[in-house]
Amino acid sequence: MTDSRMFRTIYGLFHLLPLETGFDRSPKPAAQELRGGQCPLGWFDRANLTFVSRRGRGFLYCALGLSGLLAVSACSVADYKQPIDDMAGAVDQSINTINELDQEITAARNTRWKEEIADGKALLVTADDTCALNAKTCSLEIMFKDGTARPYPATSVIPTAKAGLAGLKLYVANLKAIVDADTVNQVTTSANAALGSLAEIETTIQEAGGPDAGAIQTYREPAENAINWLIGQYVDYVKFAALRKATRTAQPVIVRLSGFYDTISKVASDYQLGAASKEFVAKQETFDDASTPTPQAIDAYVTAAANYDVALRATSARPLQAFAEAHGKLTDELNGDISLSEAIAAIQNLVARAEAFETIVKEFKTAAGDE
Amino acid sequence: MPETIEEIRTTFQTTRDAIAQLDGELAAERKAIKVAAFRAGRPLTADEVARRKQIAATRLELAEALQELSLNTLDALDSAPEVAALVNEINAINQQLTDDLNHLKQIEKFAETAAKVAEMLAEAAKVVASLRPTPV
Repeated sequence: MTDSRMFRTIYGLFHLLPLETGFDRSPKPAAQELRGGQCPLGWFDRANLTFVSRRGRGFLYCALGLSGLLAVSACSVADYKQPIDDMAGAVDQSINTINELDQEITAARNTRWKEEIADGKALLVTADDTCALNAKTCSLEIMFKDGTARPYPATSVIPTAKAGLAGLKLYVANLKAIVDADTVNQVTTSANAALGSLAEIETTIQEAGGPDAGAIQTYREPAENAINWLIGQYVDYVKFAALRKATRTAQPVIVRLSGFYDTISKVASDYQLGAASKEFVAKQETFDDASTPTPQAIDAYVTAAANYDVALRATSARPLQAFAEAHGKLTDELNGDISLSEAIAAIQNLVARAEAFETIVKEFKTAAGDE
Repeated sequence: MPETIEEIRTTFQTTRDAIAQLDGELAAERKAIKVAAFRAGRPLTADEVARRKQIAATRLELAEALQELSLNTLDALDSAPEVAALVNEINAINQQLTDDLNHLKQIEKFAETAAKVAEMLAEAAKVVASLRPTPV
C-alpha cells in the first residue's frame, strides 16, 4: 500500500463520520473572528480534508505539527467544563431555594384555607365528577363565596411557574451534558481499532506474499495521533457550535424567565415578611405593655427584631438576576465578544448570590421555626 | 385586571410600596410618642397609650394585607399567559440541545461502524489469504 493509498483509506474512514448530517450549518468562524479569549475550535471541514488528502504524507506532517500546536494552546470545549459546572450548581441551588419558598407558602396557604373553612368563609366540597362509583378519581376543592374553587389541599402556589423552573434546570443540565460528552474518547477508540484492522490487512497481504509496502506499520503511530487530533477538533467544533447556538437562542428567554422568577421570589419573600412583621409587632406590644421590662421581655424583643431583619433582607435577594447576567457573559464569550475570564467572573458572582439567597431563606426558616 | 407579568409586577409593587410607606410612618409615629414622653420624663398619657395600641393593630392589619396581596399576586403571576409561553420556549431550546447530544452519540456510532467494517475487512483478507493455493 503506498502512502497516498493509506491516506485515502484514512480519509475514507473520515467519510464515515457524519460531517454533513445537518447538525449545524452555520458558517465556520473566520480567522479574524477568533480573537483574545476565544477558543479557536476545530475550524476545518471536509474541503480541508480533501485538500490535505491530495498531499499524502504532507498531511501527516501538517497534522502532527498542528497536534503539537494544540497541545500548547490547550484551548477547547473542556475549558468551559468548570464554569458550566459552577453555573449548573448555582442555578440548581437557587431553584431548590425557590421550591423551598413555594413549599412554605403553600403550607401557609393551606393553613389559611383551613381557617376559612372552619370560619364558614369557604366550603370544602368534592371536585366535579369525582368521588362517586362512576368516577375515576376522588379529590376535594375549596369553594369561595364568589363562586371560585381551587384544588384542596394546594400542592404549590406556582404550579405553572414550577414547570419553567424544571425547564431551566434541564437547560443547564443539557449544557453540562454537551460539555461532558465523552465522544472524543469513544470515537478515537473506534478509529484506532479501525487503523489496527488496516494494519492487520497489510500484514496478511504481506504474509501471503503480496507487495512489501509497510506504510501503515511505519506510520501507524503518527497516523493515530493525527486522527485523534482531527477527531478532537471535529467533536470540539460540534460541541462548540451546539453551545454557541443554544446560549444565543436561550439568552432572551433566560432574561425574561429570570426576571419572572425574581418577581416570584420577591413576592414570596414579602409573604414571609408579612408574617415576620406580625410577629415583631406582637412582641413589641408585649415588651411595651410591661411596666418594667424584664430581661426575658428584652431578649424576646431583640430576637423578634433579628428575625424581622432576616425577612427584610430576604426581600431584596434577586437570585436569578445573576444567572441571566452570567449566562449573557457566557453567550458573549462563546461568540467572541468578551474573554472567558469575564464570563467566569460573572459565574462566580452567580455562585455567591445563589449561596447568599439559600442562606437567607434558611436563616428565615430557622428564625420562623424558633418562634 | 392586569394580564402581563410586567403589569402584575407593577400593580404589586405600587400597592406594596403604599402598604410599606404607611407601615413606616406608623412605626415612626409610635416610636416618637414614646421618645417624647421619655425625654419629658413622664409616663405615657392614656391617649398616647391608646394611639400606640391603635397603631399596633393597624400595623398587624397592614402585615395581613401584605400577605393577602402576595398570595393573590403569586396566583396572578402563575396564571399569566406569558409564563406558559416562556415555559414552551425553554422546552423547545431543551429539545434542540437533546438533538445536539444525540448528534454527538451518532458520531460515536458512525466511528464504531467504521471500526467494525475495517475489522470485517481484516477477517475477510485472512480468509482470502488462506484460500491461496500452496506452492508445490
